[in-house]
Amino acid sequence: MNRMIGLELKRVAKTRSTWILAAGALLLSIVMALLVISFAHHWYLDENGTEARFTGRDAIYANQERQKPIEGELTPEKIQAAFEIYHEVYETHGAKIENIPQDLYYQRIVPVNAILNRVREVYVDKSTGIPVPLYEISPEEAANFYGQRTERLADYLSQEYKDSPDAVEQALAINEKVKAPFYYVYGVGNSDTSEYLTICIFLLVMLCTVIAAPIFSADYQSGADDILRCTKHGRRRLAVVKLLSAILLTTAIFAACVSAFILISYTAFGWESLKTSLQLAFSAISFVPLTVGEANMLVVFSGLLTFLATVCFTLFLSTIFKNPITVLGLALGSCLLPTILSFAGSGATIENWIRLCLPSGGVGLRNGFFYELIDFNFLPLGPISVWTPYIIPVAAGIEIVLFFILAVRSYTRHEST
Amino acid sequence: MELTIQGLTKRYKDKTAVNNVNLTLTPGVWGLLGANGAGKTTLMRMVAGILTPTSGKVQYDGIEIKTLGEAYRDIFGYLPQNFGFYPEFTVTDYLQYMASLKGLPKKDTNLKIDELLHQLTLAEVRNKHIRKLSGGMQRRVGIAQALLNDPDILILDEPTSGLDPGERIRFRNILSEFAQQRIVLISTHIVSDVEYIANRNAIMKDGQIIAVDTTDELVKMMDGKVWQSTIPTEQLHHYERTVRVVSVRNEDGGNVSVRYVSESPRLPDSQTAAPRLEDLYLWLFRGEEAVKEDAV
Repeated sequence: MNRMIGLELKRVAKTRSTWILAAGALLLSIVMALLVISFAHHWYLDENGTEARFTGRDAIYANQERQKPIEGELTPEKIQAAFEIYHEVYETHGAKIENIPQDLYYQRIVPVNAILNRVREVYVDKSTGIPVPLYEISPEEAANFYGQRTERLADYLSQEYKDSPDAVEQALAINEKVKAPFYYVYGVGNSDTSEYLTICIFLLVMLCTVIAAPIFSADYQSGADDILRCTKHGRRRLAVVKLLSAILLTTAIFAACVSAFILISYTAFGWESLKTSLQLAFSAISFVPLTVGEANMLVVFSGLLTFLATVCFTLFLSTIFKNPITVLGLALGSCLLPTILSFAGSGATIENWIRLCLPSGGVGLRNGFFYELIDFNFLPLGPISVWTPYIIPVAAGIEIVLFFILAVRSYTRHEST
Repeated sequence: MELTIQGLTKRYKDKTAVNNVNLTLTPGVWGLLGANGAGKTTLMRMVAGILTPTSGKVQYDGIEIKTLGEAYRDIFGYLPQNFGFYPEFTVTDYLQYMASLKGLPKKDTNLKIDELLHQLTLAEVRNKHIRKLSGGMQRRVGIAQALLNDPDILILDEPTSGLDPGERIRFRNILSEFAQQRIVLISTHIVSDVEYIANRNAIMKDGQIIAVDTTDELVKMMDGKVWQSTIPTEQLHHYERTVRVVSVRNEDGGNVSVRYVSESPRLPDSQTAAPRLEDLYLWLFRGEEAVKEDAV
């Protein structure tokens, strides 16, 4: 079996299109990581007192320097101190930014803005849902950020899931595992790394679909399969070997590309920033007890499962159809379907179940595991509610096994006319 | 050793490709003759186990090949009409790949590949990509893969198409040597290929076997039906419309020597000629275009 896998790997790896696609995927991952770095920006006042901007690596360095004072645990004392600064400026110049002298704004407010923004999220007018103006939050009240946050989360969930107390209970139970005080370091959490990581995995899924599509169907088309299936190991074992080889090869491409993306972006934004609590990177009331680094790790893990489910689905299609173009069309269509549903769907429950359960449901342009993780979505399943980030990896895990078995069965029984 | 085909039928929606074929193949070279569309390839694919018959069965030593499964494929070699290969492979890569699928031990593989490459005069192109080889060479690579596991049953569908005369002679010699105590079934519409090496022939027409016998016995069927005559060249066109012409050779003095098949002499001064398998083929496939190849 090992010898057969080795030779099959050699065969697929020797195919020119595989090399081109693998190289393209790696280049794409590097470009995506560089794009994320290029999006970083840092506003400052230059020597003439006019507003100027850094981008890229310079912006990241400047932001790291500026936010060093608030790095580390976000203690109530730190929050109170940030609000004292704000109130000091407010009492002299008012709440409107245009009334605050620019040099004062850049020196005093901007360095603590990350704290002010998160606090603003949890102090909300209960009747309207509109955030309370910062000047109405006293430094002492702001110090109660963590207590207020839990209250705000409970309120939000109760409104959002009026008819699903089960969902509220689950979310609050998960929230209990959230560690306080939160931790903050400027970096990955302030960037688009997670969003672009999702897009990068989505594009890798598409590219590897192109590699997987002809694995069986091209042999049917060329007639090579007639010879192969007349050999001793040319049925079930060959099917398993071809599937394993395709999975190994595409997984290697996935690993190389995702590693390149992560290495470049994390190194640029700083590895220390991975410790930042998810609540300080995306939403203060997020009930997910993870750091940015842990969340991204889950995005990669779930992305790998989605990737493998899509590859296995494509290979299954490849065992059915004689024409690789037909396989490719169907496989790419199924890759795009979750994205299309998230953009143009009605948002109906059944539609969401389908979107998340599709082999490629875990990745998309503006949908996928990461977006489910930072959102507050539960889907009803009979009397219970299911948190959507659970659905994607479970569905993908089942599909990997299911489509693998179906592909072996389909290939073994295939008969060209 | 016996391969028995019993009542084998393959029916598609609007066509019966193979119709109730019964044939018992014993060791030796078997020629399966028939015009294009006669059902040879369909029959071979069913014998190879890659096409399920509508009815009937194929048995190897009394056991159905479907039941034998891997054991049958282990003693089987097959070259289909369209030899599909992996364009990215060199000749050696491809044969190594096929050897692993055929379950050849790794230690014996290189030796076997070397032997076949020399036999089929492919040694010099062993490291070339198959896609860069000529059609004849590609066909020889196909033959090499079929022989890799020293099969007891070898099925070759149009093995000589694309081979030049020298290659065809070499192929026949290899096959004659190889066929000792093995069942070799060669389908072709090039009669001369099997005439020299087939011990027995089965002739197929419209999905059915219409004759099975040794080459000599089959040829005897044509005694008194093969004629030769010399006629003026300008009359050739007229006679071609009335008799089945096997061959025409230019003679001196504006004449042509015509060999034809007919129940009775139809051309002036016709003499009987010694029949050959090709004559029988043309006799049986009157109305169908046969491929006439010079004997080599």
